[in-house]
Amino acid sequence: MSEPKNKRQKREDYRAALRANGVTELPRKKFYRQRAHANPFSDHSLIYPPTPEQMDWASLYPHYAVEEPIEQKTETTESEESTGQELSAPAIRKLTKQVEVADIGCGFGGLLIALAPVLPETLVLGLEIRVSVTQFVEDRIKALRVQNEEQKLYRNIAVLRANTMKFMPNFFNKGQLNKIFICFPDPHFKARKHKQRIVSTTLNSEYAYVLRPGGIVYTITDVPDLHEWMVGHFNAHPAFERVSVEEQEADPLVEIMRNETEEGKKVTRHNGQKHVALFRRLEDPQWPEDVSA
Amino acid sequence: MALPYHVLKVCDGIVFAARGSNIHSFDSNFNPISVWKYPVKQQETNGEKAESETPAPVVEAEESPAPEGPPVKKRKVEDGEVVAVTEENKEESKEDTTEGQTETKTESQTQEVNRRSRRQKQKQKTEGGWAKNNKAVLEKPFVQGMYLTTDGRHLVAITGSDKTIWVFEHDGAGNLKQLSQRAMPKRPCALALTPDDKTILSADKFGDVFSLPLLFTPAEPTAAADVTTTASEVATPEPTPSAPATPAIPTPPTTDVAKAQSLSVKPQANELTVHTLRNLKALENQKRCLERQKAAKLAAALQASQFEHTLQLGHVSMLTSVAVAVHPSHPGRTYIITADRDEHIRVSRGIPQAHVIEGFLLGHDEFVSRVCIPEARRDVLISGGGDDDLFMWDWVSGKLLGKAPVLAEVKKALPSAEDAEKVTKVAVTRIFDVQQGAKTQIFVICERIPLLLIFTLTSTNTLQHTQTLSLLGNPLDVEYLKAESKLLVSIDPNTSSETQEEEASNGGVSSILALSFDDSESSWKVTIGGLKATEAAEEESSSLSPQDLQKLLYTTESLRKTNKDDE
Ligand SMILES: C[S@@+](CC[C@H](N)C(=O)[O-])C[C@H]1O[C@@H](n2cnc3c(N)ncnc32)[C@H](O)[C@@H]1O
Repeated sequence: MSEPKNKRQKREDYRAALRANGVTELPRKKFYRQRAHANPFSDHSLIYPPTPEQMDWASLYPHYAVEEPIEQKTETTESEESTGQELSAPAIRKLTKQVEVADIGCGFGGLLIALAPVLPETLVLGLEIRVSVTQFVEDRIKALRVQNEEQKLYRNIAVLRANTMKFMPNFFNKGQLNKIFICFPDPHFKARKHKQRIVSTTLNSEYAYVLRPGGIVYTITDVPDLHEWMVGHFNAHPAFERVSVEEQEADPLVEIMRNETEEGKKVTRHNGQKHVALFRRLEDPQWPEDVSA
Repeated sequence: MALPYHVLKVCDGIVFAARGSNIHSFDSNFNPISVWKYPVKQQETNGEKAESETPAPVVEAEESPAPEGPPVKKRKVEDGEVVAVTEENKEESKEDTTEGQTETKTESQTQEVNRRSRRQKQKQKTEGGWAKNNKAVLEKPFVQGMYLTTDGRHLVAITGSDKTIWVFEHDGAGNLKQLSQRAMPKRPCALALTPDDKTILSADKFGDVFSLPLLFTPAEPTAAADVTTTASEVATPEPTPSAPATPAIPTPPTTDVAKAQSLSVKPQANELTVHTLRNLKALENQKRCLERQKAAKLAAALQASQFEHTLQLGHVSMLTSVAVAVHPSHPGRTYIITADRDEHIRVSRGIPQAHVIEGFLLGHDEFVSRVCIPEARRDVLISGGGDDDLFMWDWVSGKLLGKAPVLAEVKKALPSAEDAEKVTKVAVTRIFDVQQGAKTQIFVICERIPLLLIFTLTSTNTLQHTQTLSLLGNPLDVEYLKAESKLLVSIDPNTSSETQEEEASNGGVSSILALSFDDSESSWKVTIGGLKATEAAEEESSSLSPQDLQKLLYTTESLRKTNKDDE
């Protein structure tokens, strides 16, 4: 990107200063802008654990870390060649509970922050592919934790830079989540770019993998065709069924999703329409052999 | 340049060996039997069916999950020959197309497509990242893989740049009869066959796995008619009912996953529904793209697939290996195992429940290029790629059983310490199992490493290194001739280190080595009965430069992530 050096420098100075400051001040958005799209297919220098077990969750949710770090041995190489050469990996502190709610493409984090007090017993994670947007949310959460130290608020939310289209299984085990939010996803209008959409027949299988049966996918968009696309693809997927409108409207999180994401607020300001659809993860079907047996 | 036999497949006493674009067959003593030659002029070869089967101009979307060389741009000229358009002759070729066109509909559409792909190309160039166009694309597409049905009656092959899957009938004596050729929407990287031999699974560069019936009779040539229909349907937002690609999961109203082309070309939002600046821009963009989309659709109609193929599952990453597996504990269940460039190995259920992901085998730090489920130990999966080690898994539970060092063994075996120091990473290209009595042996080769590593898979699930054999050149493929108990290793003769004396005494540079197990010494040894490059030379040498040939033969290391582009 061809932007004046000094501008970038300013942002970096600002962000560094903010962090050095003991983070009591809320970050300002203008210092975290970044181009609108990141190509989910390219090799970003992403950091992700090889397996969910190797994820250092304690650094994201320090207040939920168990006291004793668990000595982590690397997988024992059973080949005789390397017996006696096992190194123990840096100790990873486990959490007292697992992340159960994910906000995919969380943007500037409005939904996370609104969910924090509403789901006080639940760990909620925002996943965002853009670096400086992620940084913004991280600084925002840090500041909020400090500002609300006494009420112990915002300790149950965190953000992570990740490309969810490739690396969800690196973070979450099978059936670990019970809610996934997909709010105002990038529309990718061009047919040629539809493979970049965050909802597709093949990606829905991955959402089904990380969700436990009974878990819910929440979707919202202001683009009618994208709404239809998402409804079409989830309805067509054997692992999902659409949640009825009554049940949808009875879910308090739906109203929060409508009003609390940055994108949602923008749409409100423009008196736009918001299309909501929820889908329930069904049990896996029986194996064909078991059915015929 | 001498072309090596870069892909081998053994069917009982018959050896199929692919060389460039052709498939040779030999008996177990390497007496030649037959050669299938890649059709040069497909219209002649295929008679009236050529129209619908000629590989159409390649238009690849730029958002490939697998950064690869530059997209091969091809231009169809009148006789149906496919000519690559390189950067250098681009301008020239533009003129060609406008002057030398015949006024058939297909021709003009082809040009639209060409123009579009040029624009894309320019865009790609400005965005950077593509390697300089290479002349290798001028060659006929190389055979990338060969697969046999369990009954040995059919051979299935993939060729590269034309994205084509070929099915041959095999008479059991080394003669192939070409039954069909199907150009896939995206380049197939690996295939597998279902246990009933009826279905091909094709894993592609864009991360999708399609199923296709093994046997397929091309529809009557209706290409011209089809194109017209598609053209008129361009304006209709409804998907064509005739669209042949079906996702295994019922098609939602606007889905198109398989064709990667939605038939809806109206803007998908209007000014009222678009609020953010970002969306507004996207909408404008979209409108501008409508025209281009039309061209894309025509290209799709031309290129695509006038045959049944069903999307079974997909990664957002280039696939490198696919296997169909049955675990001994549940003989009635089949699984599809797929490996990708982003370190994942996925275990899904077999058709018709391929949408159910059972688990992942996670732990690789680099790309996975090969998975192997030994015939006699179907509960175990061995994987390898850009990591220093092989990984061994209980694939049904997802548990890592252990690892076995590859890089370390390679370093040990290299003649000088200097050489050993230079080798800092390996890219596993083949993992191959051979059952010898009760012993399961695993053979491993790595890209540009003239060694054959041999391991034994023990009953206690360890992978024990037993031998490293120095080869005379870079190994390209490994196969086993069971009847003769001979292991075959094809060698790139251009990399041979044989001295002239050795060469003379051996009767020439080796092209395919035969190894047999020496019981007295308990090790594998090179034996007589291989194939010499001189015997193999025939009329076929290639116009490829050494560098271009290397680019075609050695593709695995390039899966490693290096240019991690950010922001
Ligand atoms: C239009 S924004 C919506 C943000 C937020 N959900 C809201 O409603 O305000 C979509 C976000 O998804 C992010 N995104 C797109 N593809 C992604 C991917 N593969 N992994 C993670 N985030 C992604 C984008 O960077 C962007 O911030």
